[in-house]
Amino acid sequence: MENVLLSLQEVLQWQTLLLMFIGVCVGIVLGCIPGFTMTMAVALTLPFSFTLDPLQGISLMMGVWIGGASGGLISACLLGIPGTPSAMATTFDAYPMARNGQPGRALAIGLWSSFFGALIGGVILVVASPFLAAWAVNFGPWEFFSLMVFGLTAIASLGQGYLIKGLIAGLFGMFIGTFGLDPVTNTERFTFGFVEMYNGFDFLPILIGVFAFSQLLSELKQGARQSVDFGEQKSVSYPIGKTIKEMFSSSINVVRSSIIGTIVGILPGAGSSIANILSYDVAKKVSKNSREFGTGKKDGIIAGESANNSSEGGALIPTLALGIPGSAVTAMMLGALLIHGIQPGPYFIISEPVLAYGIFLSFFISAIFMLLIQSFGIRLFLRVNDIPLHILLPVVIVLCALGSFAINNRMFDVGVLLLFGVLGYLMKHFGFSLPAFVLGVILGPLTEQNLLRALNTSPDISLFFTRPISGVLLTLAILSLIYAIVSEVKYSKQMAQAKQE
Amino acid sequence: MKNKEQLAALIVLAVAGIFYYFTFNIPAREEDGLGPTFFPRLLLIMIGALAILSLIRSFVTPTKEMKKEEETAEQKKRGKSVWIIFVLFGVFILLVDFLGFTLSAVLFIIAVYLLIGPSQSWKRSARTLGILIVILFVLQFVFQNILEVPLPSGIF
Repeated sequence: MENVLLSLQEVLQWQTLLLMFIGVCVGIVLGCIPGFTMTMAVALTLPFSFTLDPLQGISLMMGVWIGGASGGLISACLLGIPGTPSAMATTFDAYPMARNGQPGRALAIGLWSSFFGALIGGVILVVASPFLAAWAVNFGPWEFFSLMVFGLTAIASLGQGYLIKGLIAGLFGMFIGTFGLDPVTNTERFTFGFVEMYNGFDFLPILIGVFAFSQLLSELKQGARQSVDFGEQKSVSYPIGKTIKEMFSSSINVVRSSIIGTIVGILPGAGSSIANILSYDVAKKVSKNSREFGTGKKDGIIAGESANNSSEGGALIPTLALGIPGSAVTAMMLGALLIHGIQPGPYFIISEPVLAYGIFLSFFISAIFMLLIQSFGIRLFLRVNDIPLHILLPVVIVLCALGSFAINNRMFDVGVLLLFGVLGYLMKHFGFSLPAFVLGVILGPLTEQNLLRALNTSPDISLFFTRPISGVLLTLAILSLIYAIVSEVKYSKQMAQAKQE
Repeated sequence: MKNKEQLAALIVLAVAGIFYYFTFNIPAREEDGLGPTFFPRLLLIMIGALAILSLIRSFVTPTKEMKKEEETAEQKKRGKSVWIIFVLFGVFILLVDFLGFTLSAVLFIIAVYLLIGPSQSWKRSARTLGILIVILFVLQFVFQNILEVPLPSGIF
């Protein structure tokens, strides 16, 4: 309890609150822009976060994350285009509702669903993380190795594109993580004569290069973005009392969708996009009026938005309790903590309780800010969509360069940014999963350390399978691969059938 | 080249092969146990094996399930712009040591704007560029004065 109060004291400092407020505003603004994903938004926050103290840095990122998730709602409602991929299912009912002359209702229901989803996901996060961490304290290098293998296979098999490409991306990321001095013998590996490479590549320019630089240029290639013709839209305001009444009449849907979202969020690689679609699908199936889904039904909006926001709380659970990020954004949060020399994992909550509870609290406070800011500033955020790419792109690239330079005050890291910007662009072009790649980069060194530690303790490889938890995790890894293979075969058959028809 | 999948698999295979060759330059001693080359080689072998699998798969299931995305002429043009921006960014990195961060960034912004900006009157263009440069100065101020990052000043 003392730690919670200390955390509260830290989080309620005006600087931290201001950072969260700014983060939520920036997140909403960037989330509004179709093609500008939440992941890109959080990647651009990284350079600012590492110059701050850890809690302030994470609070800023948290604000951007929560704001970004809800920002995608605006373009989903008014344009029928998800501002972020995690708002995909939201468009199915929010857009028809807005087209039916109720844009304000669609936005209000989506917003409050986001808020309740975040709250429920947050509560599960606070309750589940310490238990999971306490359970994982007994993990040896075998279990950690297997856990990381599971994380990578899950993200590779659930990520975009084909399984093989997902695995290649994850393994290649791990390989990039081996650059620099070897962790056991300090032998130089792939340093190519650069002293700057002794510690390997810094996470930050890689993350920014892959998620912001390359993504924005991919967006440039894709071309035209649509903008909201605000003049034609009816009022975007809707009475709060009415909204809450509507939410309560669908309380089972809110709770069910939030729980689905949280569980999906916990699974490595599944993330908010899958949570959004899965809970929509469940809500549709259990509804008595399932045929009305897709025509502007409030339960469709509630299901999608509660789930994608609650999945964030879920994704934070394995990140903080096990040190295994559940999504690209949590991978960046993990990266931000690592830059500060803090290693999330089973000992994190015990050794850094003030920071851990501070992160939990910042999650809730960001959700409250998100609700307030979206409620009062929605008209302003609608205008953001009109920022042309020829203004956005040079500004973001310069910001990427500044952020990469700032980490070590050297241009070498700006070169790394360019290298991974090009690599990320090519990978996206050829259909390789970028989240799997980044997760590989982050988990690579830890995987190697645990593998070597396990094999140095006992050269018996069968221990990876015979130790119960390690065995279960490796079985899960194999199952996730089988699942992906079956899905791919099904998909191939469907495609072949479609072609024949 | 039959399709994009095969090209991707061949590139991955080549990269894995090149880096595998590089692992022979890593000094390994017998007393180091598994040694510093064990893990990178393990990964490269797995990457190579998956690339071969992907290559075989692309021959066995030729394009029927692989989405062939036809690029429009406009997309091809924008694709070229992307590569030009990468080159411009490389030039920007090289220029920073001589011209400093600010001047190099201003030149980079102007070049990118000329490349992707809309064709409009010089007055409007000048106004947009003015906005971009003001944003650059604000960002630079934040990094230099608030985050205390000493940006390169070049030879000036």
